[in-house]
Order: sequence, then C-alpha cells, then structure tokens
Amino acid sequence: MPLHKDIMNFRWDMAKVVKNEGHVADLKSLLLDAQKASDGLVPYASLGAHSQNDYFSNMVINNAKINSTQDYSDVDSSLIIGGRYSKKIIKTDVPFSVAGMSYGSIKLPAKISMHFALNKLAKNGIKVLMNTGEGGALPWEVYGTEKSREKLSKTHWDSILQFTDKLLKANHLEEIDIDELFTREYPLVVQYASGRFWKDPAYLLNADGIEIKIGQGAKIGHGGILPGSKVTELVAENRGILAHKPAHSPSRHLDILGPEDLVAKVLELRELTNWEIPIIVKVGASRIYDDMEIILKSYADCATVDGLVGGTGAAPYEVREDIGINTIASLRPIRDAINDYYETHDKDGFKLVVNGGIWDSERIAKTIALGANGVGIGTGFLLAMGCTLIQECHTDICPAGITGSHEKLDVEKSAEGIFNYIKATKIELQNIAGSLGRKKIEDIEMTDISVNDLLTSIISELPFFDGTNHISKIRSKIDNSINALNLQGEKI
Amino acid sequence: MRLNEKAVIRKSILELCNTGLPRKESTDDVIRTIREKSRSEKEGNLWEYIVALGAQLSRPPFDPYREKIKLATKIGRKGDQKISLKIPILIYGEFDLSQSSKDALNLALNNLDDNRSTVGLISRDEPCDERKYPHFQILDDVSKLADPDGIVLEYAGVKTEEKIEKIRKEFDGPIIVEVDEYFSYYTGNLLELGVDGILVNTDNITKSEKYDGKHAIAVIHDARLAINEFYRGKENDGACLVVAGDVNNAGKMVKAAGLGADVIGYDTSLLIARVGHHSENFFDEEITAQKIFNHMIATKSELTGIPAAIGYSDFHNLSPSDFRTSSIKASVQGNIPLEGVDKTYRNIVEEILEEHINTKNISVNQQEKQKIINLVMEGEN
Amino acid sequence: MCGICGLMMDDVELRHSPVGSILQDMMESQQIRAQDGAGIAIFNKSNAGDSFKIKNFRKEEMSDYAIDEVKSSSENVSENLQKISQDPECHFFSFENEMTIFKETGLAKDLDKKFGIRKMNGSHGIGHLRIATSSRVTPYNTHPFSTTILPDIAIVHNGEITNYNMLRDSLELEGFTFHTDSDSEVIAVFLASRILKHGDIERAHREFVAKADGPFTYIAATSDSIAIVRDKFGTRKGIIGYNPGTNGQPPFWAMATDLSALDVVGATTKIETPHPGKPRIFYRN
Repeated sequence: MPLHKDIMNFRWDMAKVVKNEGHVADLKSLLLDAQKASDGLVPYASLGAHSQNDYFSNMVINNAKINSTQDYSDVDSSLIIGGRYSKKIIKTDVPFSVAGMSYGSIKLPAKISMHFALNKLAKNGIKVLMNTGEGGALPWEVYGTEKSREKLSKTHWDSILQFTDKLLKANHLEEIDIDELFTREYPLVVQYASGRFWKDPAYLLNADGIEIKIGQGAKIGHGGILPGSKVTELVAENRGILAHKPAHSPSRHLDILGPEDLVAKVLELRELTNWEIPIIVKVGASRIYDDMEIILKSYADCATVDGLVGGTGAAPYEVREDIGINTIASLRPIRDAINDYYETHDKDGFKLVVNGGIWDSERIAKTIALGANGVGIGTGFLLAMGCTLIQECHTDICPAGITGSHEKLDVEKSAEGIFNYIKATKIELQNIAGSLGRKKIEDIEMTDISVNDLLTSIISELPFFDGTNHISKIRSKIDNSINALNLQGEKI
Repeated sequence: MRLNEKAVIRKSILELCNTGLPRKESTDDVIRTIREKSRSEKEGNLWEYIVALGAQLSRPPFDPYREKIKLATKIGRKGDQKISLKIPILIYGEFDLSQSSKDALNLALNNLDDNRSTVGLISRDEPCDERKYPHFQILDDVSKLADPDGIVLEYAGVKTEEKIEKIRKEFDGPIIVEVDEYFSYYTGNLLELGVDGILVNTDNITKSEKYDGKHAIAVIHDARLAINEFYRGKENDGACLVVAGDVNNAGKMVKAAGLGADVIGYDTSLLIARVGHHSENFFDEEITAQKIFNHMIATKSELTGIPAAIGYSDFHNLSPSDFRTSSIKASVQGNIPLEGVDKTYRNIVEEILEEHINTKNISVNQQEKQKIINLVMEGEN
Repeated sequence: MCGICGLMMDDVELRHSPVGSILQDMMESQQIRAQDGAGIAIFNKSNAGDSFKIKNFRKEEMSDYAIDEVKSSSENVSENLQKISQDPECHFFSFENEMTIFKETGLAKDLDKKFGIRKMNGSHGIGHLRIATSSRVTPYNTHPFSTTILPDIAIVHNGEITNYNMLRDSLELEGFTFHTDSDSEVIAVFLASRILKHGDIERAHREFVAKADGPFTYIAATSDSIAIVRDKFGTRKGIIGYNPGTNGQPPFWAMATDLSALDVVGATTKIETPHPGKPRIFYRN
C-alpha cells in the first residue's frame, strides 16, 4: 500500500487545521486517518508494537560482562527441545532460534540468506533452530536432507526442481548451486497455523518439530495476513492460494475452540508423526497464566510465548498496538503457572521459549534468568540483513529489499552478517554466564539481575541494585504518608 | 521499541554483524541512559500504556469474517423513545464548519445510514430536513427547539435541572447533559430527573483545576463510577455515558469503552469535513462526503475487529477486566490492573499496608487506611 | 470447557427413577473431555418440604475440605443465608430443597465411589466434568453451581462466558451476591434474578442468551424444568435424544455434549441439536 501523495497532503491539511485550533497534531494518528479516508480500509502496520515500556533496559545483570579477555568458550550454551512426550529431541547449540518469518512476508533472497547462514554455522559446530513461519516451507527446507528425498518419485523430484528453478530465476539467483541449496544441516520447526498454507504433507512429516500457532504477539486474536501486493504468483504457488489476493488466516483454528480441542490436535499430530518429533504450542502473551496452564496439560513438549512487541509482516495497526502484554510482564504469570502445575505433577522435559523484543545476548540472559529456557529472535535477523526499521514490511517499499520492493538483497553479505551476529551473540552469552561463574547459560538466575525502577520490580519480582525491592519501597511510601498525615494533625 | 531507541539497537546489531565479536558496550545501558534523561519529561500519553488482553486458548477469539460483531446501541432509557445507532458514535466537536462542509457531512451521514452504519450528530445547528440519521441539538439559553431527535444541554447548575423538567414536558426524546468537572456531585440528580445520558468532554475536564495533571482515563473512570453509583440496588435501565475529547482513534475508543463509555463523541469526521473545505486541492462536496464515509467505514471495521480479537461478539461487552497497563500512573487514574500481576497499584499498596500495620502493630481504622492509601496514590500522579 | 449432561424423566409417575445411575453412565462416557472435577445435581420431589438445606465448604486445607449443612425453616432461611454470605470463613456450596448436589475434584467414578451417585433416584438431574480454563482446580470451582437467591437452581456449563465480569458487576450493583470466581456462576445468578423478577424460566434463558457473550453451552435445572442452551453462534456442541423405554429403563429425554453420552444410555431416538441461541426446555410433568 504505497503512501500516495494525496494521502500525505490530506494529512498535512488536517494537521494545519488541528494546529490552528490550538491543539497538538499527532502526525502518526492523522496519517492513519488520512489513509482510512482515502480507501475505507483498516490500516496495517508491521514489525513490533511501539510499547512505551518494555522493561528490558530497566534491568541490569549484576557484575556480568559481555566482553571479556578470559575464555569462556566451555560454557554450555545448548538447548534441548522435546523428549517430554516425543521420541526425538531437537538439540541446538545456542539458546536462541530464528523466529517464524515466512516466505511471502519476507522475500526469497532473505530466506536463502538465512538458510545459507544457518548451514555455515552448522558446519562450524553451531546448530541453530529455524522456524518456517505460517506461510509454508520452501522446497529445500522440506527436502533438504537425503532421508527426506529417499522415497521421492522421479516425477515428484523433477517438479520440485522445476519450481525451485522458477523461484531462483524470478529472483535472479540462478548462480546458486542446487546441491548446496538442497542441503539443510540445521533443525527446522514448521508452523501449523490457522491458515493451513501447504500443499505437501511432507511439510509436516519431514520437519524436526511442529509448532501449533494459536496466536502471535503482534496480532493476538487475529489471523495472519499477507497483503495482496505481496502475494506474487510464486508465493501463491508455494502456499497453494490465489495470486494477488490478500491471504487472511482465520482468527482461530476452526477446530480449536478450547483446551480439549488443543489436546485432540496435539494428539492428532503426534499420531501423524508417530510420536517422534517435538510439538510446540505458540501463544501471544495475554491471559497468559490460563493459556500456559492449558498448554501444560495438552501433551505439548514446549510452549512459545510471544510478547506485545513481537514482530509481524502485517497486522492491523490498532491490533498490533493495543492487544497483548509485554514480554517481561508475561514471565511472572508463566512462572506461576509452571510452578503450580509441577506442584501436582512430576518434573519432566517441558520447555519454554520466549519471543518479543529480544535481540541481543543481554536480553536473552535476562529472559532466561526469569524462567525461559530459550528465546526466539526475529527483528534481530532482519537488522543483520540490513533492515532500517522503517516498519513498512506490509508495503512494498522496504529499502533493504528484505520484505518487499525491487531493491536487491546481497545474499552473501546478508548470510555473513547473520553468521557473525549469531557467533558473536553466542560468545557474549558465554561471557555473561562465565563472568557470573556459571557453567551453563541456563544457570543464570533471578538473583543475578537487579532493576532500577519500581514498576519493573513489581512486575518481575526482582530487587533493586541496593537489595531493596518494591515491597520495601512501597512500605517507605506508606511511612511517609503516615508521617505526613501525622504532621497534618491526624494521629496515626 | 521506541523510535529513538531504534538507531541504538540497529547500530549495536550491525556492530555484531560486522565484527563477529562481542560488543564493547551494553546496549541496554545506553537505552537506560536515554530513558533516564527523558524520565523527567511528563509521562507521555497514558492511552499508549494501556493494552487489552487478547483471546486465544482460555477463550477463542471471534472472527469478523465468520461471526457478526455487534456495534449497535440505543440511547434513551424509556422503551418508545430510544434512538438507534449502528455504530456507537455521535459526531461531536469544536470545529467551525462552513455551509458546504456541513452539506458534505450531511451527505456522508445519510450515506452511512443507507449502508446500515448509522452514526448520530450533535450540533448547535437546526437539524436538516432530509436527514436519515439522528440529530442531537445543543440547546443553549437562546436557541429554540427545532424538532431534533435528541437534545444536549450543557450543565450550568441548578437552573439546568429546572430546564430539564421544563423540556421534558414538550419533548420526549433522549436528553443528554454535557457535564463539567464536578459531575460526581450531581450525576445522580440528573439521572433521577430522567436524563438519558451524561456527556463528558475529556479535553475540557482535564483542563480544569480539579483534574489538573490527570488524563482522560481518570475522567472516564470517575464518570462511570458516578453512573454506577446511581444504579446501586436498582436494575440498570440504560442511562448512557458519552465520552468525547481525547478519544479520536479506534484504539482509544476501545479502551474508553472498556473503562465504561457507551457512546463515543467523535470529532475526526468534522476535521475531515473542515479540511475538505479548506484545501483548494481537494474541495468538492461529494469527494469530502466520500472521505468522511470511507473513514467511518474503516473505523467501523477496526471497532469490530478489536473486540472480536478480545473474544467478544459485542463492542459493548468490553470491561475494565480486559485491560492491563504498563504505567503506575494509568493504574492509579483508571484503576486498571498492572500487566503481569493482574492487580491494580492500589491493590498492591493495600496488601502491603495491611501487612505493614500488622508487623509494626500500628492501629489504624478503615478511614485512616484509605487516607494513607490515597496519599500514596497522589504521590504517583 | 468441559463435558455436560442432563436428563428428564418423561413419566410423571416415575419420580423415583434411577436418575443417578443414568447420569453416571453419561458422565463416565464423556470422561475423556475433562478430568479436573466432577459434579451432579439430582431433583427428587419427595425431598421437598418446608425445610431448606444451606450447604457450605468449611474452610480448611484445599485438599481436605468438609461440607457443613445448615438446616433452615422457611422463617429463618433468609437470615441464615445472609449469615453465610457475610462470613468470610464460609464458602457457599448449595442451597437445596428437593435438589441434592455433589461435587469433587477428580474423576466421575471417584465421585460415585465417594457419594454413591448410582443409587440416587429422582425425576431429573444434571452432571458435569470439568477441565479448568480460567479458574483454579478446587472443589469451590467445580460445577454444578447454585445460588443463594433461590433454592433448587443448578447449572452446568461448557465453554466460556466471556463478558462474565460485566454481567457480574451489573448483577452485583443490583444487589445479588456471588460466591466464587467462576464465570459459570453468573448463569445461575442471572437466571435466579430473572425468575425472581418475572417468574418465567423460558424468558430468563432467552434474556441470558441475548446478554451473554462467548462460546458456551449450558444445561440448567430448576425444580420443574431442565433446559439446554447454546450461544447465538452455536460455537459449542450440544445434543438431545430420547430413550423411549428400552433396556428396561423408563422413558426419558437426555442431553449432553457428546453423542456418545446419549448412545451409552440408549437415548438415540428423536436426536436433535438445539438451535443456536434458542433455549430448549423440558418441563417436569
């Protein structure tokens, strides 16, 4: 949806009138009004909400260093997902993964950059988990291992190659080596979302894990959207939908209306995959205590929780801004739900992955300290590829050529950026844990963190740097009030 | 993320990407410094610190493509005099409109009615004859009753109450009273007199001394309390709360509805009408009407989409329990629970006070407790 | 979101029919749906009389609670109710005249083992299996819910009343008391408040459907009626069947979440699904 000159002019005209009336013109809001007046449609937005308070920067990891002269490379940074009910597990070498970003919402060169970067990391001994997002997987993701190609008929394989050819040609990437492309050395989790965008059952069967997406932080209670301008012929073919028409997923799985339906769905997928691969349930952070309790009872191996600022390729502006709670705020009710559950159940391998506003080692460490086992990073990888954060992913004007537009993304350079980003973040994480005297990243604890403001202390249950906490702060406020009342002649 | 923090984050990630080595400096430390610098500034717009809880597993969301989400409402407490709105919006605001702007607005409102998207209009003007939408006429001391569908009176002390009694004898449609900042003292009286709705203009009221430093949410919260107080022990016969002022986008409207607004007084349509006239490039009555129409239809979609995502098939079912805040100030002013702890700041202080006086063996009675809590609350404003 | 069931004997002479054992069969057949709690309410006219039973949980450790019973005559019943409502040590359990309620966390067969449900007779009854969604797993939050407003009202509910807070706030403003944090309780209180107002149970159900939001099916029983009601979009399930008197059982109407529950008790004729938003009521002859 390009910003027509007319819309911009109309906005300025409105702003002038508002100013002349003696009010402050909110330009962002007036732009949305001008858009609505122009087309009568709900305005979209992308990436994460402009949350005024995400708490991360109010938290300090006590005495930890991201940069150290000492070598902490023996600190264990691995994460295992699965094994609670699944026969197989996913073992990754970093506690962070690539959050779901689908082909369609980001363009092919960006998908291929991530594919190559993760392969290169795997060759260097760092296995990183990739999530496909809700728009289906690309051929080399589904058929990237030899085992997955074993039972393919010649005609099927030819049709896959043909489609791959078309994809590469359309993006002027013919020089890419097909054998190299059809090698996937990293684990892949596929999303099972309310819009069932895949045509090939191998999508589920060849995956290393399945994530049932109930909601995402950017648009909780709202289905996925891919604006029509981004549904090219090839994206449409890959998803099995009509080209140039917006792809709207239902706001809910039409067969999951409550907890017992989720149980049925998890068991259905377990039967389908012979109880082998891990099953994850993803929700946005909202009524998170209740939702976590339900996930814990649902035979899932892992929960993914996505905070308010979790990104998206497109969401209605108001839904993105106004629905869902912040990542840090969700962690306390999540801990409560998990603790309450395990009061009456034996400990098992349930894992928690948290997304939303997390993009560097410190924030990963803070999230893990507050109870997560791992985190997902989305926007961070876009930045590594050159994203400028103009938040126009829902349109076709991406200046970096990641989500839209005809700008060409340099695949090699982007892959290198992602490679370095992950490598350096892993070292930083090990430095943090090592400088705290820990052998494992997961051993970073709440006692390692302190806060500098009252609200963050209330929400996270963390103490201030001087050892006081929100209770003692409020107590002294109470004492001050009592004194003030006494001064006024009230005897208390 | 905030706008000014984006650059910091981007720079930091690019450093990692270019070097593949740990950074020199913690980025959260840099952001914290930026925030501490801006902390002395007034906490921005509190609307931005309020979020709704979306529906997922513990309750499924509705889907506006599949289920019809109800927006319609009625104004009026007696059965045969109710006015129906398909969208709970009354166009209302301070903009001075020329005749052509008014014509464009009239055309747009009629088209909206044809589209089953009726909204109402509050205006000082005499109602148009060929209107299809409800017109609420603002009656001041000089204006004459000109056969409107409803009446709006501005509260001006006891004489307003006398006026209401007088008007009731010749007019049986809904009467809405626009109140000033002292509404909590007399809302009960007005409702006792049979007034059908209370209109609060948050822009005006927050400028008053009584609401100095407070936000629109405090006004809406207090106005809803005043109306609820009237209904204590009786069955609610539907006196409505009309909220105008700082509620000029769908997000704010949804939050206002959660805090207790039944109908929104909305001025953006007037702004569009006004701009349509003032801009040489755009002025055309029909184009302006189309813009007003489009804008309202888009707003309607937003107003159905958000409640559906929260799990409601009716806009009017939004309640305070569906909202959380990430600001202590917003929690104090709107009595909204803090995110993650699901208690209001007041609840938290009450709990700590209770424990504090037990351990310290201080004897205070209920009244004194409230005084202490109120003083702590004031400190956060 | 749970499993619910109910039945109404079709024959006026058969007030002492084996309601308990049929209900128990229906509940156990739906056990797969939910395992957090089970409860029943059974109506038997021969229990009816001048005295009322007000039962409440004695506040002890969650896992080990007991039920106190206050017998009241029609003279002192409102006084006793008020006392219990105001006592913070008391958790209201039920207000019974001819109705009997049993509920407990855990499975349906444990409920039978503890209280001998299968031996109970009556004219109609309802049953519930609970999976917790938004309130905790405690006996207090187990269905059926009843009210202190009127005796002999019991409801079981599958789904979610999403605008529960709003309905509760307005009922509390009107002066009606709630005793739990469960959204389901609002159904019972709302119905009781309307019966008090106009005495028409069918109208009360219609009013509730018009006001309540979210996906739900509930079965509500009063001393002379039982009704199954689905939300206006029909998002939750519900099914009704008739057993004309096979297998030596007396004829009865049965209703449940799953068809399996009708199957197991032979209520497989005249199968219908209640129309969304339209209460389907059966009266005691």
